[in-house]
Amino acid sequence: MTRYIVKRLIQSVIVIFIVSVFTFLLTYMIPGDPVYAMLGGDITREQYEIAYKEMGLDKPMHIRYINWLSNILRGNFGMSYKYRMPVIDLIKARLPVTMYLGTLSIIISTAVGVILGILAATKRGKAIDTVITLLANLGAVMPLFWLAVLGMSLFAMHLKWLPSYGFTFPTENFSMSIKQTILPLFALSVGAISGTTRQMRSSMLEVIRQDYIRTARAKGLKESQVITKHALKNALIPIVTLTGMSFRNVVSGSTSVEIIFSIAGTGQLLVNSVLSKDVATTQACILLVAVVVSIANLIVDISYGYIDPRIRLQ
Amino acid sequence: MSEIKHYLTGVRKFFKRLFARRIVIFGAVIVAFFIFVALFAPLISPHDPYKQDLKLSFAGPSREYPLGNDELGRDILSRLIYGARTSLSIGFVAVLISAGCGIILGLVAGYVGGAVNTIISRVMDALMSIPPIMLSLGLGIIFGSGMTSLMIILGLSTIPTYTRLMCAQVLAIRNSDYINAERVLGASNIRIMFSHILPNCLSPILVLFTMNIGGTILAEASLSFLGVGVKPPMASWGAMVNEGYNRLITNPVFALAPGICIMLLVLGFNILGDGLRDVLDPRLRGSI
Amino acid sequence: MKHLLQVDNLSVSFCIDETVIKAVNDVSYYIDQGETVGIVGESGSGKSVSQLAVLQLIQTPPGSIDGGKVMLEGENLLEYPANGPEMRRVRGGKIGMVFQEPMTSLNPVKTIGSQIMEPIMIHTNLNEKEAMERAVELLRLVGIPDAEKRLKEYPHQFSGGMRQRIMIAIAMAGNPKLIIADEPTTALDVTTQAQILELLKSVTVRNNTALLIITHNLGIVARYAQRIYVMYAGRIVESGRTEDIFAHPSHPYTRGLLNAIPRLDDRKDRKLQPIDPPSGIPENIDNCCPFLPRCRYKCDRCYNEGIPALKQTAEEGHFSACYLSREELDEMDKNKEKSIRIDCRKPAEDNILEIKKLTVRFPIKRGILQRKIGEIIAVDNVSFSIKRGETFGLVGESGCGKTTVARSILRLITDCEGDIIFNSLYLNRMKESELRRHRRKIQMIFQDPYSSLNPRKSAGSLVGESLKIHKLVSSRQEYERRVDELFSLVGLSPSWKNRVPHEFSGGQRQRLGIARALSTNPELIVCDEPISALDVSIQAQIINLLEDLQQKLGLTYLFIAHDLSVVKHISDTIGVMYLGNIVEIAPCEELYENPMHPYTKALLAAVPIPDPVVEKERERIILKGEVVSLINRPSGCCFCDRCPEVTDICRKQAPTAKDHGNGHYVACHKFD
Repeated sequence: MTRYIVKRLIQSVIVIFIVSVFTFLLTYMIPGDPVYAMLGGDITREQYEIAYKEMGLDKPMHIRYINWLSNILRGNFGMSYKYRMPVIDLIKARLPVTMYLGTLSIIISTAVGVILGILAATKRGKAIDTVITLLANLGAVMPLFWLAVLGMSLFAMHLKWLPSYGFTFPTENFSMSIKQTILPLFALSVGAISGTTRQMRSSMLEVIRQDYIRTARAKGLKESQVITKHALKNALIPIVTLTGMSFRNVVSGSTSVEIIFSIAGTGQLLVNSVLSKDVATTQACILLVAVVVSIANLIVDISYGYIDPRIRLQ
Repeated sequence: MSEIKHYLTGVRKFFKRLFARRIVIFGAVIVAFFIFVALFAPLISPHDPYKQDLKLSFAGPSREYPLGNDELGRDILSRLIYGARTSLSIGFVAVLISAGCGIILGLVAGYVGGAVNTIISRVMDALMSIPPIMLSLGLGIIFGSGMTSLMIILGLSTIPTYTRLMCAQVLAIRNSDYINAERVLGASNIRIMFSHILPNCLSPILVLFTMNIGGTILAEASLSFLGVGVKPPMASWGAMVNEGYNRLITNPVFALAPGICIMLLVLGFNILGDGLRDVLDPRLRGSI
Repeated sequence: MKHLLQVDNLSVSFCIDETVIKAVNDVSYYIDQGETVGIVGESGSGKSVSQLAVLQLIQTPPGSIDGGKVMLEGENLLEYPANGPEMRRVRGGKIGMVFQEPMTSLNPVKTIGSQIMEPIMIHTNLNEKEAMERAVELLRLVGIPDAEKRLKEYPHQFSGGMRQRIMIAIAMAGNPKLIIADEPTTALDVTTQAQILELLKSVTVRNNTALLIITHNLGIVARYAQRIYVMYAGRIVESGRTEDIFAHPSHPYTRGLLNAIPRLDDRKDRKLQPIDPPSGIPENIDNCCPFLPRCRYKCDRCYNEGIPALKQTAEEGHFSACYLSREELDEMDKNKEKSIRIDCRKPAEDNILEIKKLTVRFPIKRGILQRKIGEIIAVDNVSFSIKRGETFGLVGESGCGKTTVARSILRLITDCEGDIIFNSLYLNRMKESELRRHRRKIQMIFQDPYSSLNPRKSAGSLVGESLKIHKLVSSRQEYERRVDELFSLVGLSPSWKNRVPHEFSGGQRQRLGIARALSTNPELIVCDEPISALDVSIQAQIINLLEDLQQKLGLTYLFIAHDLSVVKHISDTIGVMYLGNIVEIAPCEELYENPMHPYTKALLAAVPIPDPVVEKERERIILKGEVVSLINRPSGCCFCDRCPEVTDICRKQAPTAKDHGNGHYVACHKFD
């Protein structure tokens, strides 16, 4: 088991390293001068020279990377020329918001998806299975932004039951937080619920066909016991790995949701920086989100190792 | 001659099995419909999608403009039709790029193995750890916006999925008996890779390809909605939702119609993909 | 007289893709307390489905039980709902079942303790603590050491043989009156098979439990069953006491089976008589005897008079479903070809292949940096030679290294020590480019007919591929002609060239594999378990084909298998391997009449012979323990931890092979 953990850890480190190289190179892949990319167009000749030296553009690439990396590790992501503040401050304020929404969404969608998937699989072919499968297929094709937009105009603007913008942490104002997060969470989660439901259904169906389920029935167990004591745990195992992947999709979806509901998270930050060609902020957003997603995946994979005894006891 | 006949019987059997479930026919019809619309857009579309007429700004449905007009007075129906063109062309081209690069990378990684496999796999892992829209946005800052850029961006962002799938397939088949038999017969590595391994990996790739077109269309719509997709005045369903959503209560058509189109087209591709999976890999039959 | 279980007129059908297949058709049998009954049949005979129907474990779409009664101690089980409490009491409580696949029949994420305790707690009144004690008792009963500790372990930590023992423990847990064992040993090694069957027998004798063994292996039923039912295509075609059926087989199918299987005590010149493939299928096949298309005794009555019912033969309790009587069948047999093979091969003196001190090691790598921390010696200092034109049989159980030897010879494994000399050429010293020229002379036939043919290529292109690779033909017509020739050589119609592999049956696919191997005009063919994946009645066809081809084309075979009866039938010289070493080499007859190495003796004793009279006289040698994994190889002699005749020197020093005359080599300290 430790072997497995160490191996996964090393893999994560390598992946994060590659992502850092990619984001680092972003500055140099943009058409145009890298200094202008970082600082914007309207700077003086002097500022240009200073930045040139700071960015180490007179030095070879790998030295630049090392400088950049050491800055990053000290928390210095540069200045955002759009917002006129250090990038790190922007991120510090916004990353928790996105992560909160993302994590909450994953928890809810996994729970709901698993339950619906089990229902659909155990009642396969009956009405409830058809309904659930239909809804899952619809949910998978619905554009997230469209759903958010519809939800907002119906519940916020038309019925005025819920606020249409803003975000508060539950610790600050619990009821406001709930009201503000219902719509964004819903929009975020529909896709994930659909995906999890379909996966859980197919995973359950696959497990029910296995020989050891036949053995369990041959022992005289009730069908409900066969499902809960034998099928369930086996079916959940692939879902655990899927949750890691879903997290990444959910964080991805948060860009649209944050824009629509005016939530100050990293998604919104990223879109705005791309639109204004603010390279420093773009780099930081991508790097940090990727790091958090990698860590989340690492945690998920390690728990997977614990749950599956074939890995736990090598 | 008998070879051709045998081949044609095989093709006929394939389609018979594919369309055995009625819902797959439904999916195929939807896809065919939209492809038709996209191909013949100039002929079908009642008006020029780019022609503005500010007097008609936000006009409701009328005889001449069945779905009404948008903010700049352009005919919504025509823009919907041309939007199909945008979505489908970006969808197909991007996925072709993805599949082409991904298949080659996966084939090489899987067959050669060793360090090559490790390097390619880690790079793909890295790309996959970045949430997709963020990756597209990041690439967007390099390539800018516009149709060609979108095709490249979306094409690049799904390469890892194909690479992974292809690599896994190749690894699974590489040491199977029929490949060993070819080695024993004396076949060269190139022959084995392209004549024996590749054709046997294509089934799941085909399924992925179909589902991926749907996914790419969704991604394009999201990017256009956010404003980093196609450049105006190009007609794109995602951009239309963006333009229309402020007016959702008063004139719901603006935002509803393009959204429904996106849903239908992606649903069609998904159903078709499911149907293909049922036919090509009977083990997964019944699991949708 | 009331039987413990009496099945009357049971019929089960399946509806797949809108076709209805009758899997079990009007089947009746019974079993009494304490009896051991065998049900014999090949795949598709319905033997397993009928047992699942008894327990109502059939998935009811697509299957359905169409009729019949299943009387267990007087009550009809089929009257109860499939998932009701009555059936659940029967399952595990009155009838326990042991399934075929030990690797997949246990839940991988639950401890075996919990899996054994489940039926205990359902069917007895013990509380949890008592149930655990009972579980330990059961594990001891089935021969698993350290039972208490191992309760907390998971299935993947046990070997195949041990998992099957656990399955037996689970089946016994509810104190059932009847155990149904469905092909319980098919997936296991020969020596493990013997252990498990002996265990089943002792456990059922101890508790006076009835045992119903389902198998395709006639040897097993000859050794263990008191009565036998023979099934074909969903019907029972013959039934009776074991001695009667083997001494006086009365149904054409039973007779065909007995003629088609090789026996350990066969004469060398016996020619196997395979059961014919189906031909002349009549229109009204559903109303005729199911065996009609393959029967060599068919007559007008078979076509016109409907399905034959089970008729009493000369012996009490012996029934056969055939219009012809045994005497009539014997009469017809007199006029058929004799089952003697005439061997017109010329003996050769030179060695076509010599293996000298072949050693193959696989490193065990751990850690991120993949450092080598140890190695598995898959093949250890193996030496033997094969004369031109002969058949050398290499025999052994799983892990013995025989497949690794084959792959080393064919250079699919290149990282090995020792010399591989083919026609005086050192293959191990050649680079791949040089080797390619010589590959034509050595070819291979693979074990699994399903995975050894590329599913996307046509049969013709698979067989003809080598012609293109080595440019053996100069024109399209010549190519087609040669492919047709190869098809005919192996008994396939050339018109099937354009079909893809999945349109062929298992036996036909194996023929394609043989045709492919012949396409390069090889001198030596390595046959890696070529018939183990085929049905018994088809195996004989392939064996005969291989023997005919050898006579016709002067081929040399290296025949690798675990089935000793087959190896004895086809080989001239035999080598026995265990854990990577060759323990004995001898000419065929010599090995069977005078086995010297203790492992060879145990291996031979473990193979059941389909003849109950002979079986009664045979000595049983049951080895202790199982075939260990290569990582846990004992030091000294590879066999020392299981050998019944082990001495001190065996544990310290590995023996070397010594010549005992007459081409008989043994590696054992007993004979030094």
